[in-house]
Amino acid sequence: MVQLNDPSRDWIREALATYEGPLLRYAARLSQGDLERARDAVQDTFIRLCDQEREKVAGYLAPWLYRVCRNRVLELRRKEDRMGPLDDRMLAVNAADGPDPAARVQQRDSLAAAMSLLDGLPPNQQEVVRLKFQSELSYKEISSVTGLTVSNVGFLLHTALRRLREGFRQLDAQGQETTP
Amino acid sequence: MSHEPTDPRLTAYALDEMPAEERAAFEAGLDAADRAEIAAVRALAALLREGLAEEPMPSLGESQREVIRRHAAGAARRRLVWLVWLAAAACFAVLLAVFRPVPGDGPVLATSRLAEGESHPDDGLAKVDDAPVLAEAREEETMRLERFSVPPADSLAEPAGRELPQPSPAPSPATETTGGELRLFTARQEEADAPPQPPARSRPARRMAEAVPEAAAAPTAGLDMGMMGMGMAGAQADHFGGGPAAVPDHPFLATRRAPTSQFAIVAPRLGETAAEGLAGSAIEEQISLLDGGPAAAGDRLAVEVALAECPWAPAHWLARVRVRGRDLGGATVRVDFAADRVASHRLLGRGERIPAREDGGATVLYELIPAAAAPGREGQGTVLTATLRREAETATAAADGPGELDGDFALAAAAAAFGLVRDGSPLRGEASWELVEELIRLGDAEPTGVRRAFLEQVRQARRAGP
Repeated sequence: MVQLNDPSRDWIREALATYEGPLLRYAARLSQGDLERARDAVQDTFIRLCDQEREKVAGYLAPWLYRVCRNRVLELRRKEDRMGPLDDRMLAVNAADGPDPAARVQQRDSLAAAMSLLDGLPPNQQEVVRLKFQSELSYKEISSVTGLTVSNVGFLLHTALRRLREGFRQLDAQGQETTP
Repeated sequence: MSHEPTDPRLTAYALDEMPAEERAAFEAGLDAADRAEIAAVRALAALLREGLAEEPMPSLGESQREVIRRHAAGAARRRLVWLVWLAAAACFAVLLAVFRPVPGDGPVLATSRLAEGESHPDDGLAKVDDAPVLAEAREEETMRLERFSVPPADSLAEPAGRELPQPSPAPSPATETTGGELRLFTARQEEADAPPQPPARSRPARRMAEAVPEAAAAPTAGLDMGMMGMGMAGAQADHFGGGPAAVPDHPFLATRRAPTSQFAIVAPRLGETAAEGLAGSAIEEQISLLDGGPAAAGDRLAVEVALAECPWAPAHWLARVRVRGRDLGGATVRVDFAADRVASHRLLGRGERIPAREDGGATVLYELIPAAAAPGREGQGTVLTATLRREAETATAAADGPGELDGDFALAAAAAAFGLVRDGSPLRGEASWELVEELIRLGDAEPTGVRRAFLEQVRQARRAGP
């Protein structure tokens, strides 16, 4: 087993311990569930991190990792010529083009409903929601990861949350209709 | 409601994303409806955080983590080498200033070398007429040694609570040339489980046994010499004069616990020929540089696997994995070993980043300890499978059993044996200078080209070595 015996490399070990899981979860989503592809992307991301000087990513580590990982996933998908809706071009997708969230949700449990409704959002909105509420990145950091402007990030997130709330309202209305 | 529900600033405010200078003014304009909207956003945010936190957290494979750790260690080494180069360059500049040749006196360094009797008049290098050349050669040699020299032992000290670094094989000038790496290995139980090596003890192993009675009393079969050495860093360093720990060879790994090995292909060193690459380079680099497999054909990836009896450990096998393809830098190779055919395996060398040749090829060797065959299944089934991957493109090859050690394979084996002998590796088995020369000549009785250059390197190392 290789040990990072150079204390100056401890930060890489800590980064791996901290971000391996979250990055892989993010990459798996971007890879449309292809976990092996996600693992390759995350491995490549950390290998690239090894070549960085700590000072250059200090205070910026999380967005750096997410951005490199995201680019790597998109690159791998382009190579496979099966670019899905997370292509950068799709960032301009109109929120109204997404499927009807209410139609995708049958359960009333609020947590499960929130997750189901989230799955019904356009991929670009899902991505910013996950980066914000799962990876706890700021608007600015999400902007750095995705290449969107901070204003666009705010708009996408605002739209996503409004759609989720609208989905809940529709579920409530359906529940009331079916309640005797 | 003073703000439209479509105003993204409501969400930004609710999520504390509004710039401070804007926040106070915005807050002042909020009415009850706005605050209700903000509360709803926050409630939904909390719900999303809770739901998203429950999503399963996948993880990397252990072999992938290992690749990352090794890369990190390699990066540290490269940084150190770069710093040492800078220091060496500074020293060189000072030396130039101090020992600037005086017309008619001849170079001081050359005179010094002859006085020390470091070269033999018959070697063709020590003639007085060659003094200026010698001076330059000596300076280059000095710089090369400094480039690869190990940092002081205290700079490699492990923090408390971490695994101990492994000791080096017996220190030697040759070991110093590759001793700057910071990767360290630990004697793990899985490695101790590996079947025995041939009983021959290498010189460093004997030295350690003499110096450390406990080592001599311990079981000596198999990997014990290598593993003992690796597990007794402090003791060995003390008994051997407290020298810094060099990086040991990759240890044998038990297949049933580590069925997969991975390495990365990195961009070729531009302009470096095989012969130039030999001097002071790591075993894995020598192997890759010296193996002259077919050149890459177009962009298509190709991988081939060959198996033969190991020249320095006849009970073992030597596996050669050759890859080809344009722009191999960034490609990775995964090798899967069949546990029913291979008891243990080790990647020859100390690194896991293999430089591609300029012709678009790269080669690595593994030493394998065959598994005891089940009755009636002698020699059946795949021994190993190699998968080359670059982005989405892959190529795979497998080997079922040992074949002949042909000329090219023998040359790669010679490169490996050269490193084992030069570095005094505890895992060198029966490797010797004679074996190295024999392997070089296996494909060409009268060596020419790269074989001849290699042979000359071997002879020089032999004269200078232990």
